[in-house]
Parts: sequence; structure tokens; C-alpha cells
Amino acid sequence: MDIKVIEKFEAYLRHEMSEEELRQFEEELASNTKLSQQFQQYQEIEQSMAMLFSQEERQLKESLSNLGKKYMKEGPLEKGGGEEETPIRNIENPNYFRLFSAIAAIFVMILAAYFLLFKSSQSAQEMAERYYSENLTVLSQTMGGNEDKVQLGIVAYNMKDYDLARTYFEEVLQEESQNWEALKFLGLTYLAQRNYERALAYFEELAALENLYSNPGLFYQAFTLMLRSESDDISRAKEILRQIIDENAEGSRQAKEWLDKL
Amino acid sequence: MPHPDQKYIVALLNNDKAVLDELYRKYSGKIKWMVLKNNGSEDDAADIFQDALMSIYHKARLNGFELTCPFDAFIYMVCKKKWLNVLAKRKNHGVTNLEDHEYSLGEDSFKLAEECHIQDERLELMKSKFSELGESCQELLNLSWGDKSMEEVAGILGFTYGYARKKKSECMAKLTKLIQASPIFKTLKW
Repeated sequence: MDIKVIEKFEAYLRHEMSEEELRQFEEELASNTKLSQQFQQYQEIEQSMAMLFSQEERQLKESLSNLGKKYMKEGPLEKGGGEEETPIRNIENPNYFRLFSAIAAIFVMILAAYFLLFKSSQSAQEMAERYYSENLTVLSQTMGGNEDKVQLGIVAYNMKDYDLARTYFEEVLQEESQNWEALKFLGLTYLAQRNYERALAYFEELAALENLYSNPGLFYQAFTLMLRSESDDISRAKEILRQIIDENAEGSRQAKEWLDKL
Repeated sequence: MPHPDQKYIVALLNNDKAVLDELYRKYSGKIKWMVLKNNGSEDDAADIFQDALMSIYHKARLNGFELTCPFDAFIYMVCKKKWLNVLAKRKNHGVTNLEDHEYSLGEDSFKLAEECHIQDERLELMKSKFSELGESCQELLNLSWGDKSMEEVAGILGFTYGYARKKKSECMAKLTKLIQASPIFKTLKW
């Protein structure tokens, strides 16, 4: 923002303009969208910062902090329905510690034996589950076109409100049936709900889209099959992973890593 | 038509301690439960709840705020989003108890929570860019945003009124430039 423009804003806000200057400025504001937008932003910055530094802000924080001490440190722990529960406490008793250590050791031994016996059939699912929990429990906001509904869908997904997320993505697809983001996110939402069939259907549709610079459809198909790991899912997943590597498609690095381990 | 729980928004605006006490008594327990069940402490719960209420207060102060849904669903959504962000920053994936079925989470509570989130992000951006300004700009702007007139600010800093005004415009130009140059500026729907 230009200093001259800001000086005008200041003069206007401080009622320091002559009648003629005031008329001219208001006319300019009404006809010049960019100036009007800049003025709104300027006012918001001024008002926001003034609010953050205000005495009222400090006083309210102090009141809330006192109430926080009263209710959060000493108050009841209440589940949604209203019944009270005992707060979670740290385990400090050494006897408990020994008992839990023993249980943990037995658990680790059972787990190790389980992996030795069933490693080949479980590893694909394990790898996919790990990938899911590390990369797909929270989605990043995108900069795509059908902005509002896709963004709202992502927020709903991140809040684990999958039914609501689906309605947003489905609305986008009703308006634009080949919107690749909506296809991808709808597939991921079905995946989060463990509806593998529907997830696969949307990922197949996504993979069939042409003219995309980078298409993650095949990768998510293979990933879904690994997660489901039923009958011939793993062999189908392997085929797709090979295809991704051969075509150097999106996810090829991860595909190679998985294929080496399968 | 505002929801009857609008009284809590009014209480935040007026720092009405009696109604705020009622608000904490009625709603803080559920948030404490959610945070403790998801790898948080009592301090975390207190911070999240206070932070959420301050966000709502900021939105009400800056843009006005008509609550069109029950306060419990709305505050839960705001807190949940804040807590998920904290967990994401701590790279903690052990979220197990973020169940919403006991709330009537209509689209209104969802949208209002999202608006609060965007407002928060804007305020965070402003604060962080303000801290990048030089000390003299920070001091002048800080004084000018307080209760004092620009003449008084000029007097405190030993400037003439004209110079103080010019300096303020320069500082605000720097601040707005820093804010607009930030990569997240465009995502904040300004």
C-alpha cells in the first residue's frame, strides 16, 4: 500500500479532511474497487491491532484465566452426555509400573511371534495403515478452483465428520463431474469410513481423467487394495504399483518402496 | 433470529463475570474431557478453552456475531479444531476420542467455527508481522492504537504532530506490505 494512500486513509478516519477532500475521497472509494478493498484491509488491521492492545482484551483474558483455574484445574471432568468421570492420572505407583512393564513385554513377544508367522500376508496392510495414519488423517487445504465447498469438505474431513465432508465433495461433483480434487477427496473420505468399494470406484474414475499434470488415481487404487488386503488384492496392488513406477506416475517413489517390501 | 445462547457472546463482549462463570460451569467440562482423552493436560484444556473464547470475542468485536446454533456445539467445534491443530504441530497422531455424536453439529456451527478459525489466522498473521517491525514503529503504533490521541502520542515521543502522523503512515505502509507479502495472505479470503 502506498504511503500517500495511507495518509489519505488516516486523514479520513481522523476527520481531518476538508469538505471538498471528503467528497472526492468518498466518490473515489465508491468507484474504485481496489481502493475500497485496500481501505477495508487497512481498517481491519487498525481495528484488530487496537483490539489486541486494548485494556478490554487484557481484562477479559484475566477473567477467563481465573475461571480456567477454577473450572479446568479443580472442576469436574464431564463427558458429552453429562456424566462425570474420573480424570486420567499419571501412573506413579511402582507396582503398577512393574505390572504394565511385564504386560508390555509379553505383548511385544506375542507381536514378534505373530509377525514371524504372518509377516507376508500382513505387511502390505501394515504399511498402508502406517501411510494412512502419517499422511491422510489430516488433509491440507488446497488452492483449487471450486474453493469454498472443497475447503469446507476438507475441514469436515479433518474434524472426522466424514458424512458432512462427503456431502460437500458430492455437491462439487454435481456441478463439475470431473473435478479431480473432489474425486480424490471423496475417495479418501470413503476410505476413512473403510468403504473400500466406493473409494476404489472414485479412485478409478480419478485415474481415468486425462490432461492432469499429475494424477494420484492409480496410487490411491493400489493403496486402497493394500489397506483392504482381501483375496487377490495384494497381487492387483503389486501390478498397479509396477505400472506407477513404469509410468513414473504420482507416488512412484512410495510405490517402489512398497513394492520392494512386498 | 439469534439463538438464546447469544447471551454468552454478549457476556464476552461485556466481560460479564457472572454469565462467564455460568459458561465455564456448563461447557468447560466437556472440552476438558475431550483434551484429556486425547493426549492433553488440564493446562492444555484451559488454554484451548480460553483461546476459543478469545477467538469468539475477537470475531464479535470486529465483525459482530449472531449465534444461530447452540453454543455447546459451536464451542466444541472451535475447540476441536484448535486441539487438532495443536496435535498436528506436536506430530501426535493418537487421536481416539473426538466423537461428536452427542452434539447437534449443524452446518451453522461448522461454518461459524470455520469463520472464527480464519479470523484467528488473520490476527496471528498481523501479530507476527507487527513483531517484524523496528522498535520505533512498534512503539509509535502501539501508542496510537491505545486510548491516546495522536497529539498525545506525538507529545510522549517528542515529535511534532505532523511528524508523528507521517511516521505512523510510514509504519502502517511497512506493516501492510509485510502482511500482504506473506504466502498465507491470499488463503485468508481477505
